[in-house]
Amino acid sequence: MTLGIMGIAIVALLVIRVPIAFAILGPCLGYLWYTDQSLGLGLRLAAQGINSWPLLAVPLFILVGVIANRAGIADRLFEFALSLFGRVRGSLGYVNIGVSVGFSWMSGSALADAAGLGSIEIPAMRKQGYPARFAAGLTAASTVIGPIMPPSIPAIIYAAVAVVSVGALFAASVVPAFMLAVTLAIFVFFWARKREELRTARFSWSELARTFFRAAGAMLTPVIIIGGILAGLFTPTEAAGVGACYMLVLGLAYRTVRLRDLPGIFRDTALTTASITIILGASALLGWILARERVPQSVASAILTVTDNKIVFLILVNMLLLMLGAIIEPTSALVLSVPILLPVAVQFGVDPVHFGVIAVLNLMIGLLTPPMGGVLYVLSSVTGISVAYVFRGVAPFLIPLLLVLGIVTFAPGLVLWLPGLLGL
Amino acid sequence: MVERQILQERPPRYERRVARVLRVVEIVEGTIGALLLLAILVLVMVQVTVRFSALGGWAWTGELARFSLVWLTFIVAGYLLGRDQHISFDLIDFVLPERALRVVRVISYVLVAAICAAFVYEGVGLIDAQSFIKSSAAEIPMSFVYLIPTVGFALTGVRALIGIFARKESA
Repeated sequence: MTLGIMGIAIVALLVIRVPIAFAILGPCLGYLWYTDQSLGLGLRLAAQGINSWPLLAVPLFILVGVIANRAGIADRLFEFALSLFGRVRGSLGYVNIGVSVGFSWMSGSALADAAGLGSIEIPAMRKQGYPARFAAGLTAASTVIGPIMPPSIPAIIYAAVAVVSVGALFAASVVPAFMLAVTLAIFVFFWARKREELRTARFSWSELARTFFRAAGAMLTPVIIIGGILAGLFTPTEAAGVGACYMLVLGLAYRTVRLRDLPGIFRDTALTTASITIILGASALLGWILARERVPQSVASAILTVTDNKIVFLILVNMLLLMLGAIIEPTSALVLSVPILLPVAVQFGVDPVHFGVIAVLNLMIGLLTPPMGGVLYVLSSVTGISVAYVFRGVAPFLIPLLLVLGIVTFAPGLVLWLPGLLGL
Repeated sequence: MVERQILQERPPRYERRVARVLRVVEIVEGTIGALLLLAILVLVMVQVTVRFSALGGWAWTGELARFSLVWLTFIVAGYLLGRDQHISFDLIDFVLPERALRVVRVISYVLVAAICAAFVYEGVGLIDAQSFIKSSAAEIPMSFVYLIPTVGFALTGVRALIGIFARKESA
């Protein structure tokens, strides 16, 4: 009963636009007081939810992404990719995907990728005669690679909520991220095949060498971050710290980041971090209450009366998460859904790491769909193209993305192969 | 004449004072947030260095970094509320007309203020109860660890109160 009122209160507060963290904190505290828990438990649980070593990777990876954006890394990667693929028809399409892959190794947020890459790629594609709709659609679709490929902010958040290893989740995400890149490239191939009007550039070894050296420093970042984690040299948090220092040195060396920019960079990163971690604090409180009330067990038995088929369950989960991702931003969607769905998934024999990849991929695809698709809004604001137009551009790309989602959902071997190989 | 009109259009003096104080508070909060992030970076790097150099007994760096993240989260919560930068479920913005939206905003600020007040009460209780306990590695008094989130909730509550009374254009 108390739990029901608490749930309704959370939804009501969310709807009237109380910030998500407070919409969870308030009713949860009401529950604690009503059930006579000791004074201070609410604040202690919220603080404990943030007091975690793996979560320290969140601010540090955000910092890496912010500095990479300011340092003009995307420009350098773009030039290099262009000199590599320039003479292929539809080259800018492949360049777009390639730069997303390159940037995804230093950034873990789809919105940051959309802001950083959208402003370079979409104008460049339009200038070369690509339709704006295609340019915006492909750019939006390829931003999904960023938060799937490690490092990934949503993956760290999932790992914190689900209590699984961040390193294992990172390793599990590598194959799906490449699958996304390849399927999008196949899509571009079929789209560009008959369009002879698309201009191509001449290939030149000297240009390739020049752009390679300009991008070489940036391309070393994934070796440090992902190589360091997968080789077992660093924990993800340590790799984030080392990566942030390296990116800082790179930005200062390129002279695109100046010492006087640093206070602003650190402040902006702190603000972005806090807007995410306060929700994690609130979710720790909610998680404690859900566990105390044995909610996951009740949900599990309710679902088991509907179906005991793992495939049906996974299809239902995918549909639910896609819908959730379309209306709520990923951190909140993760903290609201994972504590309830994961225990059920485990009962169906789904590996928690595999479930994490499924959940994150669903929510990232949700960022591309209205009404609340964050990537659509960011791309619209950086390019001046309307949100509806961007979505019309994205819509065809949902087919390859959903195809990868299907494969990732029903072929756990593909996902769990790399973490198994690395012993994570 | 023109001068008087301009004077009339300016917000009243108390509002200007509040705005000036708020700006100073924001600068302080932002600076503390940036410094805590810097502390996290430095402490994590110290931890990495210590691990590779096989020196022992530096567990306090990890603990202090974790506390820094807790403090950072709550100390800038007020800044985020004042600038409407907290993550929220914005669907209502597209559905309701401007005037109804303003009413909903006020209700939401009242609720946030009440929630913050409740958490300040929690915090005071917790600070009181934990006054003899110290953290395991860095030996920081736990009452201090919880003091900063309590202050953060208080600052957020003040922002919510200002939000209730703020005029349309500044809300």
